Amino acid sequence: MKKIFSIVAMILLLGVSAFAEAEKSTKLLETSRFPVLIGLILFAFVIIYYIQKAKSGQHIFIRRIAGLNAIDDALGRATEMGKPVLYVPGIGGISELQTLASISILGHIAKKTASYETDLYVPLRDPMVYSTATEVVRESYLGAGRPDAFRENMVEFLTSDQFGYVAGVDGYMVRENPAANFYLGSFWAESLILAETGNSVGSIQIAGTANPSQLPFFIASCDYTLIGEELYAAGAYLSTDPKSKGSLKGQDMGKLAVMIVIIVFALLNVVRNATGMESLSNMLNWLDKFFAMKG
Amino acid sequence: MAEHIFVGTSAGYGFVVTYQNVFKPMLFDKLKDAGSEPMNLILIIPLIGGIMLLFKLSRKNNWVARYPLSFMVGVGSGMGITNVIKSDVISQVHAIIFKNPMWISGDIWTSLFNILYVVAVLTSLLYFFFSAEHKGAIGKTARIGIWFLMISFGAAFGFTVMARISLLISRVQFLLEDFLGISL
Repeated sequence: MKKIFSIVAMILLLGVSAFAEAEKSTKLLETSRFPVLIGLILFAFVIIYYIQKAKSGQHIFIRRIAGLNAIDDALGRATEMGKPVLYVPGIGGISELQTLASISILGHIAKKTASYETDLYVPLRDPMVYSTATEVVRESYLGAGRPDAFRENMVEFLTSDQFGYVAGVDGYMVRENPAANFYLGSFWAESLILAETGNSVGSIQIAGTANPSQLPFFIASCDYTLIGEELYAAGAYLSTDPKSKGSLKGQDMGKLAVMIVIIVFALLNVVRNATGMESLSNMLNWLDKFFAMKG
Repeated sequence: MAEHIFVGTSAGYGFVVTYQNVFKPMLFDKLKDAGSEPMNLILIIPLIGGIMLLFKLSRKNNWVARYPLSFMVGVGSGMGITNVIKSDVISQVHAIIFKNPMWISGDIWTSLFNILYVVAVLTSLLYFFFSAEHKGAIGKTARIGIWFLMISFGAAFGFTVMARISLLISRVQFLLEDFLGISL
C-alpha cells in the first residue's frame, strides 16, 4: 500500500513539475538536456542495484577510511585527559548531505563518549539539526547502555547567526579546553576561525567537509582532515543502513565508469588528432556536440 | 560577557530579520486582501508545512514534522541532482575529453599540460574510490592523486591569504591616508 502511494505521489509530482516547466518555457521536454537524463538514469540504476544488493544481505566492501582511526585516537586522548569532546556538525541545514553524514558520525562518537564516560558538547546553529542531533545523541547513549549519562544540555542551540555561533563555540573552547574537537559537515568562512582557536588551546582536531574552498584551511590547521567524499564514506562506513553502503558502492561504480570513459575517449581523441581518421572524427564531433550543453 | 551578548543579540536579531524579510512580506502580507492584490490562499499549504515542522520540538508528536521535512529534502535533492550531474559530471568529463585534447599537433607544451591534467583527474578520482583497498598499484596511483589534491589546496590557501592581505593593506591605507591624513 505504502509503495503504491509513493509511486502515485511521485507520478503526480513529476506531472505537476513537467507541466509547470512547460508553462514556463513552452517546452514539455528540454531536448538539449538529454545527456543529463541519460546520466541520471544510468547513475540511478547503478545505485539502486547496489542498494538492493546490500538490502538482500550481500556483503558490500568499503575500505576503512584512515580518518576513522584518527577519530578513535582523539576520543581516547580526551578520555585519558578527562577533558570534554567538542563536536561541531557544520553550519548547514538538515537537508544538506554533509550534515546528514556528520550526524551519522556524531552517533558513533556519542556511543564512544557514553561508554568512555567522557563529556560531549554539540553546539548547533540550525534548529532542525538541533532536534535531530539531540535524538541521535540520546539514542547513542541509550544504545551504549548509559541513558543516565545523557544530559539535555549536551546538545545546544546557540544562534542562527554565522559569526554569533562562532563566538559561542570559540568561547566554549577557551573556557573548557576540550581535548578533542571535531568539525565535520558543511563549513564556510568560520572554518579557520574555529580551527585556529582549537589549535591555540591545544586540542587535537579532526575536520571534514565537502566544501572545496574550506578544505585548505582545515588541512593547514587540523591534525586530520576528511577530504570531500571521505566525509560521506565515513558516514556510510559507520552506518548499519544498507542504503548508505549500497549508494556509496553505486557511486564508486559511477566513478569507475567515468574513469573508463575519460581514458577511452581521451585516447580516441589523440588518435583522431594524430591520424585524422574521418569516421572517428565524425563520431567524436557528434559526441562533442551532444554533450556540450548550454544553460 | 561580550560573547553572551553577541550570541544572544544575534539570535534575537536573526528572529526579527526572518520575520521582517520572510514571514511578513512572503506570507502574512500575501494572506491579506490588500485590494490591488487578492489573497494568495495557496500559501496556506507552506504555512501548514511550517507549523508541522514545529512539532519536531514535541517528543510525543515529532513524527508530524517528518512529512514536511521529507518533502523539503526530496524537493531539494530532486532539484539539485540534475545540476550536479550536469556541472559535476557531464561538463567536467566533456571538458577533459574535448576541450583539452591530450595531443595537439605542433603544440607540445599544451599537449603535455593536458596530459598532466588528465592524469591528475584520474589519480584524484582513484583516491576517492572506496571499493578497493589502497594497496599495491591502486595505492601508489591514489598517492599521486593526493599529491595533486594537496598542491591544489596549497595554491587555494595561498591565494586566499594573498586576497586577505590585500584587503588588510587597503584598510590600513584608508586609515592612515584618508582618515588620519598621513601621506605614505
